[in-house]
This record gives sequence, structure tokens and C-alpha cells, in this order.
Amino acid sequence: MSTTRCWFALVDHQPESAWAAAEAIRDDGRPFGWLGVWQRPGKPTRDSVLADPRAFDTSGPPAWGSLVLVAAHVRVIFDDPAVQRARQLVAQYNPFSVVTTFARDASTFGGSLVAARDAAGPAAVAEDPFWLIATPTVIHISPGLIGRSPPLPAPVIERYGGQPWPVDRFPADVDP
Amino acid sequence: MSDNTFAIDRFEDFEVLDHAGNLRHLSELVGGDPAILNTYRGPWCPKEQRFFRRLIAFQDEVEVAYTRMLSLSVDPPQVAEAFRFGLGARWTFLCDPERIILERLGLLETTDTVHHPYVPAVFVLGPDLRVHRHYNGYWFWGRPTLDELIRDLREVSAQIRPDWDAPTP
Repeated sequence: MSTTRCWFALVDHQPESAWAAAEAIRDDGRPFGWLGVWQRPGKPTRDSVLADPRAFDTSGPPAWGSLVLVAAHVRVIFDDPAVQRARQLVAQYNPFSVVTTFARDASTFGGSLVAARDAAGPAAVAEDPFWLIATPTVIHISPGLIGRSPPLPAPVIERYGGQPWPVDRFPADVDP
Repeated sequence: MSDNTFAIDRFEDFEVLDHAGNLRHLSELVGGDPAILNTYRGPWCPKEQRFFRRLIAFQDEVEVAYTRMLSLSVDPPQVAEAFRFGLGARWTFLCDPERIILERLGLLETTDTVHHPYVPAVFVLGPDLRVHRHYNGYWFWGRPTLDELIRDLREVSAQIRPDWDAPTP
């Protein structure tokens, strides 16, 4: 079991096989879907992306989140200056409880999630720097998913061995 | 130029507030990387303002080099956060307003009887918090140049990265 990566997916229904899951509601009250997290070697759904597992906690409280999911037909690499700039902005000012990027593979940016636990409203995630890449969806996330990210590896914005940022160790250092 | 001013071979894994008011362990901030830890008097000191601009210029390289930066002072989080934000720094500032860590490290600048600050210093650390090299910045010219920091970080990286020698055929 890797401690530096997990699978994340947006799905239509509550994912029974997920390690953690929570319903997401848009800020205008419309249903958005379910956010699921899996800790398993293989991809649980076709559109799953790799995330930083430290962002998630099955006992987490409700939260407001800002979710960027890059469309499957669009390829954005992590080294794209916009993705690098978004990470710089997070390093500079990080008011979020949780930050994780999503990796489609070793080099492709799949999106991001920033979230604020127990926040009073969507304003808590209004300044999501990853809007530089794609328009975020602001969502209210039910309990049981959002954890608390450890400190960023500041000022490092590079990924450690192709893992989702801000995972802060090379895989060989933690999963030898 | 390095000297023997400070009797710190290895930092303890102290716990201290960061600029956002979160309690952090030094070890989690350093992670598995080389790190630069500088202690500073406060934003009011012109030498610090000048030296931090040197570090600001350096962070664009550090951020892609798997290296951590940390700055430690007696300022409370709101002061450290304002200083950090004004500088445009993207690394973690640490706050020891009660001077607990300062006393344990023996880094009180005794000549300043007004602010009782940290003596300015720069420590280059390995991931095990061992001090690879330190610089006494009491006088400004004692502070490291970026070339010296690069040399130190190269030395630490060569020690800790098992693939430092490029894996060529």
C-alpha cells in the first residue's frame, strides 16, 4: 500500500468499493456527484486520477471545496507554466485545509482539489489558484472525506518522482 | 566563510508555530531533503531586509531543486506572515515569540537588549537535521553568498541522493 498516492474519482453514485467517499453539492444547491478515494494498486474507474492520500480522512468534517478536473480529451502537463504558477501561488498563500493535485500519469496534470474544513461558506475556497488551468467547480463536501494536509514542502513545487504534488518524499524513501 | 561560532551539530526536532499559526515539527518541514534554516533579527533590521532579498532571488532555484527553506525569528505569526507576504517569500517562516527554542539553541543576540532577537545565522542541514555548514551573520559579510549555499546544497545532495551519479547506460 502506497502512502504517497491514492486514486480519486468523481462518480454518479456512492462508490461502495471506495476507502472514503462523500457526496458533493454545487454551491447553488444542485447535486454534483460523489467523490471517492481508493487505496489500491489498480485504477478503480476509467477516469480515476492519482491524488495525495494525506488530503483525505474518513472521519473528516464537512468542507467547502474547489475542484478542477481537466477534461479527458485535454492534456496539460505538470510542467506547464500555468500549473507551476498555481503551485507557486499555493506555496505563497495557503489558507486551505487540504491541497492536492491530481496526476493522470507520471507527467499529466489531471486537476486539483483545495478544501476548507468546517468553512462557513464557499468564499473559503474562492481563491483557488488552479483556476489558472481550468474553471473550478465550487462544492460542498459531506463529512467523511476531507482531511488536513501536512505542511507543504516549501518552497518546492516540483513533484517527487512523478507523484501528485504536494507529496513531499520520493517513493523509494517511504515505500522501499 | 564558515566559523565555529555556534555549538550546534544537529538540530533537535523542535516544535514551533509557523507563520500561519500551525504547530510544526522541524523534521516534517525538512522532510527528506537538504534545507536552509536562517535565524533573523526581525523585519525592522535593514541587514535582514537586504539578506532576505538575496534569499528571495534564490527561491526560484530552490523550488525546483528538492530543497527546503525555513526562517526562524522571535516574531509572532502575524508579524512573520506580514513580512513573508511583503517579501514574496514562498517558504515557511517559524515563530518563537516566547524564545523557548532560542534559549535551547543558545542563539540570543545579547547585544540587542531591546528586541532580544535571534542572532542572524544560516544553517545548511541534511534531512537528519545535522548541520552541514553554518554561517554567522552578526556582521553582514558573514552571511553566505548564493554561490556558497549552492556549494553546500550540492554537497548535502551528493551525500543523500543515491542516484546523484546520473544513471547513464
